Amino acid sequence: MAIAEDRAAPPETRRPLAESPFAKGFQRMVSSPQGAIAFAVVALLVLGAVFAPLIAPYDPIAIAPRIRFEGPSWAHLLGTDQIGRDLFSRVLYGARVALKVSLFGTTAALSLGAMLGIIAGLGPRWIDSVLVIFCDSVRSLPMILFALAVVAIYGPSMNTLIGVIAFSMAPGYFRVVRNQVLVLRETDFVTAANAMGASRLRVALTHLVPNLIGPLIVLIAMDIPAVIGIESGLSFLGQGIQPPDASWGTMLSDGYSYIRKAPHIAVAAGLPVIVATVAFTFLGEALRDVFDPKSGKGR
Amino acid sequence: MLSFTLRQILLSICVLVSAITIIFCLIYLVPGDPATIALGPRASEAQKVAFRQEMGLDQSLLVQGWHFAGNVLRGDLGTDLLTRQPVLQLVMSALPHTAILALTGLGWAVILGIPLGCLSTIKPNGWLDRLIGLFSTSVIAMPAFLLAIYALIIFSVTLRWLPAMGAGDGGDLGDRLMHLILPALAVGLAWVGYIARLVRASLLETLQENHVRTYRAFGISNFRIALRFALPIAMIPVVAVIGVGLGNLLSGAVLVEVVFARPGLGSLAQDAVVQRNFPVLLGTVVVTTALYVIANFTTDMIAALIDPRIRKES
Amino acid sequence: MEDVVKIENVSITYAGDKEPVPAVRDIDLAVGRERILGLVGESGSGKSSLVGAMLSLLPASSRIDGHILIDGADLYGLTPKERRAMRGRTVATVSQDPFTALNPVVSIGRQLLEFQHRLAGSRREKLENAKKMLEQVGIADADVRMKQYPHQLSGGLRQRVAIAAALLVRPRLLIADEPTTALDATTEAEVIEIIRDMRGAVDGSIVFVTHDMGVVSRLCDDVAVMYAGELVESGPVAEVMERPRHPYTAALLACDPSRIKTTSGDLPTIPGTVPKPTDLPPGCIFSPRCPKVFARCRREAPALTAAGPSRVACHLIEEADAAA
Repeated sequence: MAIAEDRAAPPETRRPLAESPFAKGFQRMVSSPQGAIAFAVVALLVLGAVFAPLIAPYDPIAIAPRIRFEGPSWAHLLGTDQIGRDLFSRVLYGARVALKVSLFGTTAALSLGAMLGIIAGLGPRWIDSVLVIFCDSVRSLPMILFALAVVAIYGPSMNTLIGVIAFSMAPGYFRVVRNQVLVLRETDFVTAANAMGASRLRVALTHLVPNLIGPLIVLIAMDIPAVIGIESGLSFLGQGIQPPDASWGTMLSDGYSYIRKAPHIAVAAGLPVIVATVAFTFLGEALRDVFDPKSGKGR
Repeated sequence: MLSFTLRQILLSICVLVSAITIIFCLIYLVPGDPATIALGPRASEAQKVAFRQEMGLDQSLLVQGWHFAGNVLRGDLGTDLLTRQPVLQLVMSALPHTAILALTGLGWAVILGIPLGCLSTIKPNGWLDRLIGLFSTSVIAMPAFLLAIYALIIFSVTLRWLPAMGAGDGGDLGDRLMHLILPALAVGLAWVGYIARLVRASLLETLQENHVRTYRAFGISNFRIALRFALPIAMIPVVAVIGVGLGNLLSGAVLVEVVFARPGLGSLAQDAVVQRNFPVLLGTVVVTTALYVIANFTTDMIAALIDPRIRKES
Repeated sequence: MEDVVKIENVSITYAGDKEPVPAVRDIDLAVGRERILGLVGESGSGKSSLVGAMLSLLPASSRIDGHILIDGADLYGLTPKERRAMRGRTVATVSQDPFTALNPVVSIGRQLLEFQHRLAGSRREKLENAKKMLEQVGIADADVRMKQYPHQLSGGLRQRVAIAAALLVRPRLLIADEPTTALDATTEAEVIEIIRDMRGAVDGSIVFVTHDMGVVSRLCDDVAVMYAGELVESGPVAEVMERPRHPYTAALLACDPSRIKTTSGDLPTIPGTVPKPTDLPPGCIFSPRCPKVFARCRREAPALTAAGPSRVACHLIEEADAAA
């Protein structure tokens, strides 16, 4: 009975056409225009990245000195860079890098965080406290500066990048998994399963996984924009993906060098970063509406 | 309040010590020869020996750890390999630039984000709310350095309204402010969306609470209830979440500095990486970590000041 | 005698997810000057909706038919602004849950000051009034309490503060919405005592909402019994307690532990459940649970008819009249 009561939700008019929970969830996700568009854009990005060698009109690292700094044209949709490489092709190949780092980075972060989370949730209290403080301290490391230090030691490469991302982002997954383990640990059926002699790990896996899938998928979708930001940021600084490989960050770095002479390079390199981060954010929102309808008011 | 403060301080110290341990492990537990890795394969043997001595790598791990911790506690972060200046001094002189940029960015984000969040709650799911929500969600994940590059292209290169590079002439406040506008815009934009969404969610939840009904029953206007009586409660979680996000703010500021060629931690770290100047690089990491922990502690304390209930918990 | 509250043919319908929900149907009720009316009913009886309508605090999606006159003003004939102007001046309320009714981050004194926003007077006078009122409702160290925050006070103290807040504005109508439900028995007794003592401070009437017949008999002058959104019986407390004419009222009284005279192992309960507003039985709404049900009850809804000083909606009244 408060002010907010005036926001009576519109009555449910959608009717589930499909019966499987996956299909139902998918329908809910694309039921809002934002969700549908986000899904379409992400799908396009993934397709573009996977089939880059087929789609890309040019070799992304082929130098063509005669056509340097060309603006967008039908031959070169996004123009060419300072050594005549086709920017559209490079954007497509850059998508491969961005999605690869996102996929491996978040998966590794998830694995590490989930492992620590299960240990913290099921282990004795002191381990829990130690891990919580450890994860808090990882979160308190300034990500970009820390990444620079790691890169300086291990050398810039995609593996280093994925490692840094996994390490820095693991605390988010740790928190989700640990809290869920602690909640489930108190509920009756886990106690019952324990009493029946099921091993702790078995209990953890069979009962936790279904409860965790939703929040974790949402978290991954929400983290991908951050990963793309870090990848492009570090590559922009010259400490991520190394030239001549095409990544959005290295392209931004090229564009930045010629920002007065040929600003179209930076614009072309920035567009996919904006499209990808925004699309993944909206996708994450839509996924959260599916998995956690109560909190899904944050449009 | 005292026990709450003490507990927060203790927790902050634990986190800081643990973070510094991680940084220590990063340097000293590298597989292979740290000197070769740090200085690169082309370094001479003499350089490597000097580096080992500099970093204390010729001693046992435990001794190294002890020294490292002791030095950090004394504020000794080593010396710049190139200029031989104390690292702490270097970092401390770069820090204000970054802090001003980060705080200006956060400042305008707060000033714009809170009203936007409040506006959203007037008619939840109404067109204004949807519009603000669309904007917030769009900007929330945009990398600040990218916005900086775009701002540079639009406002400096194309329109020529604002200066592009540097932090401005040291003595000229107006010039420095002009140089601050674009970087601060880039650093803060994502935060406008972030804060607007936090405030919206938190305020909507607070407006559902029973005391709001009491105030309505006394005929107090919805406007006044929302701003004077619900917003302070709604701000408690928002302040805490802002604290957690300060790390991102700093990362954004560091990259934006490089884009605008402003002095600050970003340029310092960037140069240190290029020059393989390890003590400086680690110094920036240690100092910013400490700064983050302190800032987090501060936001927790601010939240406690708004909320008498937190103070009571012991 | 002038009535402070007149409720005429009031029905309240909520929008509902699938179909409209008629939560309150065709209520006719009046509260006399300087009377305390006990509004009794189980949860789902519609008493909270009726209170919400009197406070004009129902959600925008609800529809209110009929008239609610408070102090002569037809509440839903007024503009929303005029309606709001009545709250905190003509009408004040003490809410159900003292633990959440006050703002947790604002001091008691500051809140009591705010509640007097419609009254004339300086800040200092209002603070002074607040302090005096706290003392009147039996709070000893009012000075200290004014500076404290709600969480520092016990539930009983908080409810006293809430009562003081409502009395501070000297309302014509005080609505106490189950103010004792969340409290333990001792505190409940104290709070009832305070309301009884302070009834003089209300320049009009009190509506005391409760589901407890015992509280009604200790505090109220009149009683109105609601069931499933309808008024089934109303009248002076002494009369209704002595001669409950509606079988539901009788059953409620039988359930009141304080009135049970014979020792028995179990508490009496009314079998069955309150029907949902969207799924009402034909005829009398109480017929599915009524121990005295007969054929007519299932066909025809009884009208509210006078029976002695009471008004009752039951076919038994007419049958008795016809027999006499």
